[in-house]
Amino acid sequence: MFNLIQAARASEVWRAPKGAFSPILQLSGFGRVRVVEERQLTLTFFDDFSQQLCTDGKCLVQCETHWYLGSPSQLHVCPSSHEVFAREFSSAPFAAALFASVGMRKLLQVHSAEWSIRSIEVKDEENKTRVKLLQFQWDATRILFTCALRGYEQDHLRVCDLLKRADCKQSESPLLHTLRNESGFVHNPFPAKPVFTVPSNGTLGLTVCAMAAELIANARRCEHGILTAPDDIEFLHDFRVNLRRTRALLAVASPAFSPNALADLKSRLATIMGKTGELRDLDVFMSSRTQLEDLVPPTLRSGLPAMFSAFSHRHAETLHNVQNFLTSKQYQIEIAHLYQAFLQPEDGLFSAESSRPVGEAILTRLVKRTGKVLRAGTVIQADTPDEQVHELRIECKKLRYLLEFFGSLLPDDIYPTLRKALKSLQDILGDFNDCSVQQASLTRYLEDITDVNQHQSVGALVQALYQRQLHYRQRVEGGFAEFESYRPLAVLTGVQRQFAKENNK
Amino acid sequence: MKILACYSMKGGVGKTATAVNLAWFAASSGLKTLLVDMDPQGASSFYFRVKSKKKAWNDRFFESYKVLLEHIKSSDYDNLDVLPAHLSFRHFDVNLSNLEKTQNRLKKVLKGFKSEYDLIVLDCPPSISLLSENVFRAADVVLVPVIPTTLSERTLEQVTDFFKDQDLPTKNLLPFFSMVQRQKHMHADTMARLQGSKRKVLKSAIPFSADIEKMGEHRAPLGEFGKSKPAFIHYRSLWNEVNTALEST
Repeated sequence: MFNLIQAARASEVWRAPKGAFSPILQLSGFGRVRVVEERQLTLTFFDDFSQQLCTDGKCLVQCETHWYLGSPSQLHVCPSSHEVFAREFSSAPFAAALFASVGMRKLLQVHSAEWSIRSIEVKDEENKTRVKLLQFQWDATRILFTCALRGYEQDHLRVCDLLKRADCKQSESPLLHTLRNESGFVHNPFPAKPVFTVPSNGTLGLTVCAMAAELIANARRCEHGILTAPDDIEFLHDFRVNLRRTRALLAVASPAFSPNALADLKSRLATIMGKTGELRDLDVFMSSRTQLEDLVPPTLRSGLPAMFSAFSHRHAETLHNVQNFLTSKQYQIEIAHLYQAFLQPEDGLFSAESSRPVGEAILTRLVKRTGKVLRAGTVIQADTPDEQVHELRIECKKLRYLLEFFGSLLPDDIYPTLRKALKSLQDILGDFNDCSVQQASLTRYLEDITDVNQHQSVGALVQALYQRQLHYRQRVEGGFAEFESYRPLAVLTGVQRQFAKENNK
Repeated sequence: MKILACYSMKGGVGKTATAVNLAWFAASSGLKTLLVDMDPQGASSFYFRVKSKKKAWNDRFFESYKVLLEHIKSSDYDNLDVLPAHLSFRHFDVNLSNLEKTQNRLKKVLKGFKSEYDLIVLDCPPSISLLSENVFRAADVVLVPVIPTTLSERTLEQVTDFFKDQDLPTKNLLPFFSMVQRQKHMHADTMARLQGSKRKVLKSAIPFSADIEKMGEHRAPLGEFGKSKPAFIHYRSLWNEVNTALEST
């Protein structure tokens, strides 16, 4: 009987030449060949939106009653129900292996193919099966899987030799990967944060516009997910990240644009961001429900369900509004206008600065921005007001964007070090800010609430978030000192000098 | 991992047919199963069309499970492997007597399969010997086919006495009626007498059947050619009882 688990653990996978290849004919010289089963099998392949499983060399298949998660070294199997998130799978090792790639992202069907399958046995003169084969056929593609039976390994080797002589090519991928790749699947990953390779001698204006067009196009790829799979909150997050990065790109390259055009583009972007900001905050809040509940002592939790219920209602309303907005004509016109403005920039868009070589212009900005971060960080002490910590956070963010956009201008050994140093500091500042935003949102919520239970519970939650914020606040100085210890200003000034030297030759 | 022995000191009582069919039922239910054909006649190996290597290797059988691994072969059925018999297995008693700790060698060697198999079925040769004692000490259940006749009844008594003499757990002995012909008065009387006694006999009884004999012709377990036959249904019932007994050990 055909068994996909055994097949997926196949010892050898072969691609047969297209055309009149018949394993039965090829193997008849070896022994009696018998087709024991013929059937159709639909294999449905899943991945998250960014196709992270495929990028990680994994392959998730749903077939009949089971899920199969294959990697080059392992196969996990789990009975299938209606799972769409890694956390929903009943087998813990399966869920863990899946989560390692897709995290909280929703599983989406990325490919499906119906294969004709033949189970073939090669028998000896006593009718004992010596070798088992499975032939998968899709269109003109034939994949053969051969299985070495215990005690009959020599026979298996002989069959493999026959297949080789019949021009079959051994697949380097496991069976499931081969079946996916050979049935027309195209790996089309979604890079939530595209990596740019910037030509150092290109002009600032055109380089930035090409990057912005790519970011807008990337944001647009998330629209469908926000409309059809909003329970995967990463769609909205990635949508906003790409627009925010576009805005940041305009800010770091602002001298390249004419003031009026820049103000117009920024305002259009701000409108879209403004329409989606509350939903993102609510997404984060609702998805951290368990962690937030855990912050409140059990005796004070009685008011939390009502609060989460209110936020859940608000979330549903906000989602509805966002979805309406994204399908509106107004949005379609705005986003198309933005994309077009960057894709085919018109004369009025640029200032005289736009024709500067991008390398020279950006390295100057990088040095300046790093100086600003260092100035903002040096003043932070234990009693510095929170506003100044927020200022440092914003400066760090701008520097990170600059590094991410134009990292390819820096030598290979410098960019990853600087980025890593900045990330540690930013993680602390990000957690500090999240606590602050959530406290503000909860305090606003309490203004309209009269229920004593809710006041007690939400009050306790605000208090816990405040304690957390203090904890992160205490780590800011240490994080900054670590960043400073990399001597980023000296490093970047050195790069700038070297760049100038090379380009003046 | 559990070990089930199909044993009788008397020949021709249905040990091999029982071992082959129960191994098939176990494998079909998803248990990774190994059938060890210890009878030099090699009838189980014949049923599964599995041949041993030509060279005699009886003197290495009790060395380690790794030696056994080299001789195991896949059957044609999922989850079922066979360790085929070799004519040289007739010297097992001599081989065992030359070793230390002679009574527990089989148990020790089979322990190595713990991570590989869920069930080992031993098809034993008809004798009562040092090898049999090894089987009794290794097996969780010793399944004894008993033809409901005076002679078979007597051999069951002899095995039971042997267990008592050697201080072996008699609760592991599970007799069942085999090759039953109810139309024969002797069979009916013997069954009634034994079932009425204190001795525990399994409820399932295997009838004398041409279909079981046909296993030799088909060289396959009943489940592969006679699923609608009464004998198949009786063996299924026997497997259910044996499986319950194995689970409770």
